[in-house]
Amino acid sequence: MDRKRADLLAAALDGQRLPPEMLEEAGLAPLLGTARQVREVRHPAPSPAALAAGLVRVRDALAARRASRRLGWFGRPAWAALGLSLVLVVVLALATAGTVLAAESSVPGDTLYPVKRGVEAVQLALTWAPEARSALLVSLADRRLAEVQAVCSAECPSWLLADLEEQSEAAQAAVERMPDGQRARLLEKMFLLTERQQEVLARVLERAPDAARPGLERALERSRRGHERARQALEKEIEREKEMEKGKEREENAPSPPAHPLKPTKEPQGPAQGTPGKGPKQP
Amino acid sequence: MAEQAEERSWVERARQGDDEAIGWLYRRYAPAVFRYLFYRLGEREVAEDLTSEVFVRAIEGLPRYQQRGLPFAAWLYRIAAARVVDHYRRMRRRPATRLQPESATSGERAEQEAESRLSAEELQRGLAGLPPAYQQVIVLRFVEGLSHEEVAQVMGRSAGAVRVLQYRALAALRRQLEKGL
Repeated sequence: MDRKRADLLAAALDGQRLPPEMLEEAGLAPLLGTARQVREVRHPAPSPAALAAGLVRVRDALAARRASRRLGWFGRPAWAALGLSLVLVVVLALATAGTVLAAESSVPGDTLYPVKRGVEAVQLALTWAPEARSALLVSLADRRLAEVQAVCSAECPSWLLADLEEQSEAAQAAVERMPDGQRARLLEKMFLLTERQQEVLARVLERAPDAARPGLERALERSRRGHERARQALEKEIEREKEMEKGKEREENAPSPPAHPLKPTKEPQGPAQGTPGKGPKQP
Repeated sequence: MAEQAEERSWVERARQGDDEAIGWLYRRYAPAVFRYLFYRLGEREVAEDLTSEVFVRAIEGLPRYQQRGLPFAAWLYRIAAARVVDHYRRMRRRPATRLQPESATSGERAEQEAESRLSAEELQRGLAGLPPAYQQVIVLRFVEGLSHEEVAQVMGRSAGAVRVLQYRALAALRRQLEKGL
């Protein structure tokens, strides 16, 4: 019975012309009315600000995960816990402390460069504390920039520019995710880093061969956007800190409360301002 | 058809990590995903947060997404439905307890109900008392305007089953609205 009525209702909802008596008889008229009411509701929409912030979150999350995927299983804590000790042993056994130190200053194309990147991956996988991890990501982005500066005038591998972009984005995203009060210093670093990136990339671009130009121009554009984003985040953070300081000052300058909580102060009190209740959420 | 082809090309670009394509898909579908989540969850802020989470998951999962199978919107609704379940699991509470019904109103209003215009809040309160499958079919059919076949794709059921579900869901929603108004 339900099935027949359901099919009849579906047909009516799909716009088929059915005799009103048939609908009445099947008791479907009220349901069609309910369907119409639902269709006529003015449905809520996300605010433009929420939409924009959402897109930033989507891009950040994807950038961070892409960066982590580039590191392969080094980027994943579960695998890291399992395999890192082994990798460490192998790295330490194969490479003497001197080799690792020498690798520090290597650039793409050098024999020791893979060692440098391997050590970085290990460091990153072992650094879980948000502040330390953010600082490490910033310093890795800084290293990529130094490498671009060193090698890109002659020949600029596209993967190095991609790494520079991804590590900068991952660093910015990690810094922005840090709790209030801890991010100002690193935001400042990001701001300076992206500023330097633009200088370096612009200089490299001047001397770069034609084939390397499109990649460098794209990296420069990304860097400009990153710099703007860092600037805005930094300004917001500074504003937030200022507000906090003002709040503290207001608290310090506020008249001290009466000695006894039941004794009123001498100042006449205005009519009580009730805290507005939390009404239903307006979509 | 041209629109579908255009969407396919954006999806393909997003699959390859193209930033512009991700932005295009987000701007096109985020409002619909938000509406779906709002009516399922009843909380604007949570719906806004989860909307971006749905997109992160959808884009990460694109390698598994078969263009010939499910339309991209249906893929998003499926992910959104899973996020709703996750959300309640995290909150450890039942969907039906999320909103307090408004205080009872007079019988006069009940009489006027058939002709009155529903607000989004009233609809949401009505939906809150329904089983998840009923909520889903009402939102997808009458808020999002999907066809029976498209709803069937999202919900992984036959179109016939969706028609029966729709009939029962509308009847249940009507009862809820009559109770609430």
